[in-house]
Amino acid sequence: MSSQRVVPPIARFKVMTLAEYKKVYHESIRDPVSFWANLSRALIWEKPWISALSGKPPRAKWFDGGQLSPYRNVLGRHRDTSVWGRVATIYESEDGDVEISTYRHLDELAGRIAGWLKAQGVAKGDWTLLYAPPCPEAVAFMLASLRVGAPFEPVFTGFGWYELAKRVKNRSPKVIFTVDGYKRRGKEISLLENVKKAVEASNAATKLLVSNRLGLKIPTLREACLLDEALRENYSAESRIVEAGDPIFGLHPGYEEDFKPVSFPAGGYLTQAYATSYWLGLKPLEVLFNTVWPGWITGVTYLALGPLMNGATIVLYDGAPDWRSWDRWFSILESYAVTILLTTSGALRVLSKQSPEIYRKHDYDTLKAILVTAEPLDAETWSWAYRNLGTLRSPVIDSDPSALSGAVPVVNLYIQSEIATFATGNLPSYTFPHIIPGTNGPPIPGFHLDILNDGRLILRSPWPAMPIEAPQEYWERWSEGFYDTGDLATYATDEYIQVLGRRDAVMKINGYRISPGAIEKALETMTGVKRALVAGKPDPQKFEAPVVVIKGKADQEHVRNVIREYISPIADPADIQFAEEIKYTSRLELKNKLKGISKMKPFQGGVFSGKF
Amino acid sequence: MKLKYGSLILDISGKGVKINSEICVDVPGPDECRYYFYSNPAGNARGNPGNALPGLSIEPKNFSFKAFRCKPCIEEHGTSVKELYSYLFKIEDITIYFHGCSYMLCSIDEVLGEKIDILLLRLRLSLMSPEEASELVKTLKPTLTIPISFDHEAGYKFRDLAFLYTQVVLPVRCSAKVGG
Repeated sequence: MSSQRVVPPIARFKVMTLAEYKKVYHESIRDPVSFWANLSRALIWEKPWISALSGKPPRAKWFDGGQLSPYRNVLGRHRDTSVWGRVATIYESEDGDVEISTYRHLDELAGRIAGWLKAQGVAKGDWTLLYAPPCPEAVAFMLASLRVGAPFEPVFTGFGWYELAKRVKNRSPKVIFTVDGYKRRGKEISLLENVKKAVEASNAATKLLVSNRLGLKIPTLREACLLDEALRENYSAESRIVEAGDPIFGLHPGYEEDFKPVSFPAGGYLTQAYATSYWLGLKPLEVLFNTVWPGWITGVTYLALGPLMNGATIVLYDGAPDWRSWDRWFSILESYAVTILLTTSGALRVLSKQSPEIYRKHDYDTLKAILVTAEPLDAETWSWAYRNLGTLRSPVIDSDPSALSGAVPVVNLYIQSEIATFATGNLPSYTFPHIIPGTNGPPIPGFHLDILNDGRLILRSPWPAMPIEAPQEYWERWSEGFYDTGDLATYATDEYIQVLGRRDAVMKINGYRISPGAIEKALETMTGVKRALVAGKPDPQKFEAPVVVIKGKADQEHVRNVIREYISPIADPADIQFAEEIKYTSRLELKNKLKGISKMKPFQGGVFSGKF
Repeated sequence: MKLKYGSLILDISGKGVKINSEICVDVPGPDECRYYFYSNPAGNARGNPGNALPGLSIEPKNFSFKAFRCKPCIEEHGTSVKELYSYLFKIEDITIYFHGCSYMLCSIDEVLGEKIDILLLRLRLSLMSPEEASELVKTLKPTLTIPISFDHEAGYKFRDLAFLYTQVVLPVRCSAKVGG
């Protein structure tokens, strides 16, 4: 781009100046508690909260004393409104078959699943778990869990049985929901074997609810029920009310040692999810295609709960992006009049390797914004996306197809599991100053972000969705009186935030936050492997790729297979080294070696740059 | 394209639509469905299957329907106007309106009172224009609108004019746009 600053077409957005943005932002962080307290009033409270924030972070409580129905706040709020008859989900299978559900249909399905859950003894506070790709019944199952007051944990289907078993063991879910499988590049991927092994390995007393979507043969599973059979009974359940501080759902983000459980409070999470989704422009008649699957925070907040709270339409696709060619996502944008595409930087980098002509033959002029998250988006890929994906076909204001001028803003936003929603980035329906390619944009109002002199990205004040359950690593990140995100960042032009990657040894692989310790644990189950050390090395495509150092002997292919089967194909190593002794004392030392840094930078600490 | 809406399954091709494998609208037939409906009965190449023409009384068990003769607002004297029909189906609790006319109906009072779930229409720059079709959408406010046949220019234009009023589904893969 010729300029560092890109101004989106003002005719399509309520664009503001940087000065206007700063005014809004500074007002929000001057008193973030009041800021979020005001936003919480958009929720439906059965009993109003007494105190917006009580106690000291990280153990602070948001909206203490308040009671609300999560289901009513996500779906029930639209009953008797025009949204009820509108389309809630559009599901497209890899084969091209389409399923449309209105809000009313989704409510009916969620209500019947909730009734079945209740009949199985699932009560308020019990956990459920789902291991399913994006499909209508997976969304309905999440909603059904909300309806009976049961927090749920979605597990990414890219994880193998070993990781699934870990989550089953940690959550002890009363019910696990899964689908028999989904298609990937024309092949049937069965999930049942992983579920069976995970349940057996965790020795959990859990019931299974299986959607027989592909019609695969269901193996003999203890306490398994087919979804069709469960629905035949016409069960029903009332929407339960929970305390604001009760868990609504949980995830297992990657920490250095392992993937560990984190849970979010109902009142605070819904406040943040509703507000940020609205600010992104997710409203009735907006159609969102989010390519991030459930199991990741972006998949829960912006594939399901946030858009549904705001009455938007969500597109669900469980096939491969390159089936039958790399333009599949663009065919989806074109077919369903998609207005907002949400994807990852890694996905854009892969798309940029193909000829742009295959995307540009599609007409998706309804698109308003391309939102990008998960890991930093470099300026070069940003520019490619803006020109090649963001130029409208019809020559309207600021869009010249012959010059590939760009028009659809490509917005990079920063998210972290523990924060639960986006915390930086331009907001198409709220604060939308100019875009600076290569940055994650300015902080979102309400999030008091700062960057220390040593590059640590921190949050100075608590946020409503802050975890109520988390591992020791999370609590320790508050030891200096602020939340240390574990990410490195720098201030770019106009004091925008540019996230650089993880400061610790946690890896970001194609946008996925992967624990090196989890890979090590899996490898150390192998005969001949005495010890394993894993760290990420910079990768031009994936951002980081794991490198494995093994003390002992093992077959290389076997090592890869164990990682693929136990953890995920995502974590397929770039390099496997064998040694008699591992000379690195820590993962960070290995990481720095792989990055070409001979010594760790010492912690500067305590001196703040004071931007924003 | 196979599309599921609630309990209904629509099989949509460039020519017509099959609903729950029971009702065929503008599908040549004759062996695929139990009931056949044609927007242009006289011009149907396969002739008249004879079991569900407008005016012919049938009493289906699983659904109800109404037929509307298309009547332009301004008669063009001296030209032969095709006798075209539109249909309103009620199947379970879902209402489908198949707009078989090649223009917007002058009076659609009988349809106006209905809460239409799915609107199916044909779209051609030379017949029902995107502008006319979007006017129909704004008038009927269906939940879902599917142009079952269209040339691409008209299809995209219609989508861009109508998407703020209905959920448009363009069955683009009907035209084999996805290679492989």
